[in-house]
Amino acid sequence: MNTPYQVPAWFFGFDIGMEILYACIAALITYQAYRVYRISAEQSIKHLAIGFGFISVSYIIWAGVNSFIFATIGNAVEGICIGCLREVGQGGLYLYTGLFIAGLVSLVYATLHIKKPGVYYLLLGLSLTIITISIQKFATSRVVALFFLTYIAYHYWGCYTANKNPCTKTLLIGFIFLLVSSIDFMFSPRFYQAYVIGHLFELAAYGTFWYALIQTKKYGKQKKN
Amino acid sequence: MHSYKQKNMANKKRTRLEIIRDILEVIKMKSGRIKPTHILYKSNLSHGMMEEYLAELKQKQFIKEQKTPTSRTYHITEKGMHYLTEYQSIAQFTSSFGLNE
Repeated sequence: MNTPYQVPAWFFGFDIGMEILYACIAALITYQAYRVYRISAEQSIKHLAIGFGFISVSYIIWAGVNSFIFATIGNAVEGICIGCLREVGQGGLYLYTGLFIAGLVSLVYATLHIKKPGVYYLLLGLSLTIITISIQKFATSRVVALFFLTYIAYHYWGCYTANKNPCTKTLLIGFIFLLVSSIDFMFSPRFYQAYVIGHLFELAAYGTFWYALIQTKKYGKQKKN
Repeated sequence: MHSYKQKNMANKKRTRLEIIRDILEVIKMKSGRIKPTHILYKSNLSHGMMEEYLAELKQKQFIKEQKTPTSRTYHITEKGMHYLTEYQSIAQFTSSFGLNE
């Protein structure tokens, strides 16, 4: 993996904290989706739970890789290029990328409402193949993520125009933030600022997801009563 | 004269979850035991669609089928009752996350 991204030394630690926070929010959505799946036995909800589960684990791995880098070179250098940590960080970053893309594929598959595992296999297989044969794997993974996130945002836009559900609108905004962060991360191998801004957009995205989850639970309880 | 529910159902296409809820409620109302013809009449579905839904509900263990040489009846299970209790939360979650069919 060629220089996957550049991190300013002052941002080390903050990024790890943020990644753990994203993992926690994604895990909360996974838990809630799994709870609803246990009652409803709906396959699309199961795929949503799997999707956010993959995403949650991917962020934990990313935080682990960054923690390793932080522990190894710490704050000794200004504007660190992580490419030099090829042997150690590479495996972790491959895993992070693969799981993140698998998460997005699962989310896309959940919205398709089809029972054809072959479609899932094709989407995931083709995405991972493109990333594997690419030289700039991290940036390419973000391009692939961009395609999936565009589709997801479009899907949520369609749902919102149909159901006018405020929670769907909140989730749509969250996915747009995630989409923008993916665009931004494409520039992170060249500009360390992109890494910081990408994290801030992700923070906005997961904050929005968290808010949508709370809204969903609140409205669900209100309707029940 | 149409009831409010019938009018509402005519104006809006029901989601899959709503159809499942309607079928389960029909079974529940009939003291938990009902013939397929009654389900067909009450749930406002075609025969083919009803059979598909009944097969799905059986597979999900929301209902149980009892066959005799002359007829078959359905009764709601505890899992099916739990689905009805939690229906609003499930519907809100699937609607929010854009998973409605």
